[in-house]
Amino acid sequence: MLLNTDTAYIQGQLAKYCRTGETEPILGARQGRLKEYRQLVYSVVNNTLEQAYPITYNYIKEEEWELMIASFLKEHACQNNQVWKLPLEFYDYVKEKNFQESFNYPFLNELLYFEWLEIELHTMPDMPYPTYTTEGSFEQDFIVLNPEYKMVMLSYPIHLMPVQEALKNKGSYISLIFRERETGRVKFMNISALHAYLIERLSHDEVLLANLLNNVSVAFYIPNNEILTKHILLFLNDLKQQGMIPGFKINN
Amino acid sequence: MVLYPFNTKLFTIMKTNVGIGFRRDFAEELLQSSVLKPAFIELAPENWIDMGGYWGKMLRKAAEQFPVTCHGLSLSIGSPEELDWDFIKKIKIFLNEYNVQVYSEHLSYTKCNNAHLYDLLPIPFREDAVHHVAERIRQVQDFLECKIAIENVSYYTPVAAEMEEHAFVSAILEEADCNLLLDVNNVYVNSFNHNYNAKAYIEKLPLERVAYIHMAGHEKVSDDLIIDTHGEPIIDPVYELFEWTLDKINPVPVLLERDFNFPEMKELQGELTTLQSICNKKWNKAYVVKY
Repeated sequence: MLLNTDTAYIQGQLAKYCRTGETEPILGARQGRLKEYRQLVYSVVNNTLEQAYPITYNYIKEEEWELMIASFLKEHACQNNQVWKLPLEFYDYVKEKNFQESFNYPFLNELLYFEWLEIELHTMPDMPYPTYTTEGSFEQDFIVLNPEYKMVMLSYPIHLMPVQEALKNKGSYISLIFRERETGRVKFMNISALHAYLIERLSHDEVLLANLLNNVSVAFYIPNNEILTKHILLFLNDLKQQGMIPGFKINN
Repeated sequence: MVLYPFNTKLFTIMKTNVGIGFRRDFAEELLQSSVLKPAFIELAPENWIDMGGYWGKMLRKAAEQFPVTCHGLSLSIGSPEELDWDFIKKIKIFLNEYNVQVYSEHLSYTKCNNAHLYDLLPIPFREDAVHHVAERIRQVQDFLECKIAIENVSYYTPVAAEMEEHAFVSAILEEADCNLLLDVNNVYVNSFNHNYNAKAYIEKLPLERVAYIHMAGHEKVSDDLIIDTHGEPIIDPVYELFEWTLDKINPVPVLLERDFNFPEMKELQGELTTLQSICNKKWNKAYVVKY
């Protein structure tokens, strides 16, 4: 390296100050002006995370938020050169440091993850879509699934109600999160384990409805009858309307 | 190595013309607007690489509608750290994909002690830093197979300086054989904050290397400090410095930077029009190559 050790050291001193706010004299610097850099770095990180996690930011106390941001900046070496991906590093950090327990917010990790998923789905690179036609029938054609989706299990229904309410409704919830192809909008659906199973099956294999009904019947110990068919068809139609099922495979 | 620019024909259209930084806050308005009409747009590649969905579509639309330049944020050319070659590979793909006409970066560092800081820290004005930064610029240029433009940044305190700012910037440009993105507002901000003469500073730079100009607004936060916010309209003394500068350089693209506190599109277009009229006055009437 062509850089002298002392030059590199001085650069490191400034960077360290920006992250920690802990002052030490830096050679040739106007000490009173250094705070501008600390302020700028802090603002970028804080604003990015505030915008990424609006529900969390508005729910927890201001001093708790500030403590998390300050600790994150000081203790965590941010690795991503794209600042809009920083919220994922923050989520991992908060989980690792267990702020959930120290602040007594049992939903904190879930809430951050849920908010992150919205960003991830909204921004993730476009995935290749299979060729499909919107005309077809669930009974006779192979169903094509929107590949841009995630399913997440939650203990608090933070996707269904305000956090305060969700706290009183601890249980098991599954949320389907997907990106509508045309608009790029991220949508959420509260689904059952049976629905999640259906989506998993559709995402992995080309299956016809008849096989799907058999699979569901065996997996969930429920009779393969008209009621089941009707229920699944209702769900599939809903998925189609919402944009999770764009259409049907084109038969060659 | 491809000498600047990538696409001569497109660049000829851009030079002497005024573009605007493409920001999400007004992306939709810009793409549908009959009011805001920049000659080109500038993107920070970091904000768009890997981006799909709605914003991916907007990016493709924008690139179809306007010529594109790129102004990077995270190359960290002045960092003591190793260059991030995975990132630079992504930059190269992005530049090719969007037919980018100018790629510029800041003469600063944003990563240190293995951590990104997401802001532009001042490099010590020192001889060893000149060699270090110039070598890195050369490496990046070799890999990208084109010249890059390096921007004079605004700074609020020098750090461990052993030479003057203009000498530092000039030495790097010469040693790296790269272009200069002359940020006129930054010169104004620095001249105020560090009490030097802005015109004298500009005259000492290798102006034949100017390939691109940035103009922006700033905020005076105290009697002796201006912060380069890009959140206000350009002030008259900066327009005046810009006009004075144009007499000394060859025609290049000019960009208006506005990053927040966005006004009505009409107001932004007003700034573009003012800049364009200055360019027309200084360049189009007497299209003389001075170097």
